[in-house]
Amino acid sequence: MGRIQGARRIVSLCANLRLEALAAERGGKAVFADVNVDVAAGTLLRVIGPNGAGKTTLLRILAGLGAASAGSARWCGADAVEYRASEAAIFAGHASAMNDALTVAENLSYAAALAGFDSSSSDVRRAMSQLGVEKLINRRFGSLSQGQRKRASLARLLLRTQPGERAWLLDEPFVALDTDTQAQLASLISQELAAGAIVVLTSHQSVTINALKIQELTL
Amino acid sequence: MSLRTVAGAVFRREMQLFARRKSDWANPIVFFLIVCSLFPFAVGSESEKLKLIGIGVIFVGALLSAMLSLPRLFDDDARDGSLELMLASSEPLAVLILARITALSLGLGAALTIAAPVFALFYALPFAVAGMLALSVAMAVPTLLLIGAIAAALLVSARGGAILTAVLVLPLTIPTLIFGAGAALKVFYGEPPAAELALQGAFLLLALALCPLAAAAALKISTD
Repeated sequence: MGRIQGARRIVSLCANLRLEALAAERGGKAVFADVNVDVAAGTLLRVIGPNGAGKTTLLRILAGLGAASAGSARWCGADAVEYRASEAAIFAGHASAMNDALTVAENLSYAAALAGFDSSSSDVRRAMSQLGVEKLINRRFGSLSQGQRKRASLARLLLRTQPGERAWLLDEPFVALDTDTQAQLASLISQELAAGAIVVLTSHQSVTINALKIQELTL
Repeated sequence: MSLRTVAGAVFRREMQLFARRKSDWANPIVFFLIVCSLFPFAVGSESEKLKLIGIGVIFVGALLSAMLSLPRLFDDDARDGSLELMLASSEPLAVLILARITALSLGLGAALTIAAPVFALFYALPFAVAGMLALSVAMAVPTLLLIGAIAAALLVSARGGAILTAVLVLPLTIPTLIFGAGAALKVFYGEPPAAELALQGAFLLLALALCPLAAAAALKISTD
């Protein structure tokens, strides 16, 4: 959702993600500390680290779902306006965020509304057809196969009104995807980066993603 | 995107789920029916005795069956990850929680409100008393759900959450229970129930003002 400034609606929000001395703890134990990184628009940030290094914790902090124990994570617009994480990024974690009893279309339009996109059913259809699963749109999510579930839940990322509108925070997005879908997701990520979005990604798989700017963050 | 649209989406989804998963309201109603029909077996079938305990039994039965659906307020969403959509929304969480409770109160509340006077006739209670029971159940169910939302938020996806929810919530519903059943008893004795209804309404309003905020805070703590 863009901030209205005068008559101009800014579509791409986040020119910059800045982590300063960021630290997190889980159950009273420090997970990581003193993370400093500055990410510009159109950059792919790969978060690397062994299990338990706090990759998911970091993504949750960036998404505004968790609190940092010290330091700050700031999403800044081109005009140096600071945005809330909820306005700046979409988080896709391990879970599908889809209810089994509802249809794919119902799930997606709910997700779109909560993310602040004014998505109509045609936006949902477009997102689904971009992933090649348009025919699943009126099926109940619970009746889909695992691969179809994965694809349908990826459609949530594409509900934005314009590419590059939100940063993507992807937690192990390639897990349980077949090679076709992996390639498809990789190209979607490239497109989003080209449109000026920041994509933060944790992954154990080495999937090639075409990006002009790649940064790595080791936890 | 305005708050109204987002809250509307939350409300609509809850209603869709309610229509889609029949067990959500069928199970509480069947449970309610069984509780109400067990008591006459235990206390005997003298109709005067049954009439007196009937009011209390029906009221407590309605509260217990409403409590059965508390875990579904957040647990399913926590499991499939859609709770994060709500937590990550830029709109105030308390309002979104209120939208969900409103939907659940309308759905489940309506089902229990229709069932309560029917069960009151099983106990041979007069029509006026049955009507008052329906009214006080209609006010008690939202109160219970509002209070229960705090417990459900605190215990989201905790082991043994259902029992703990009952332990936390039921003591807090005692005022509603006293005044709700009290109103029906007043009608039974032919006295005006205005004071009890007013106090029950006051508790509902108090819960309406405080509980969504507390539930939002609890949900943030338990999911952080």
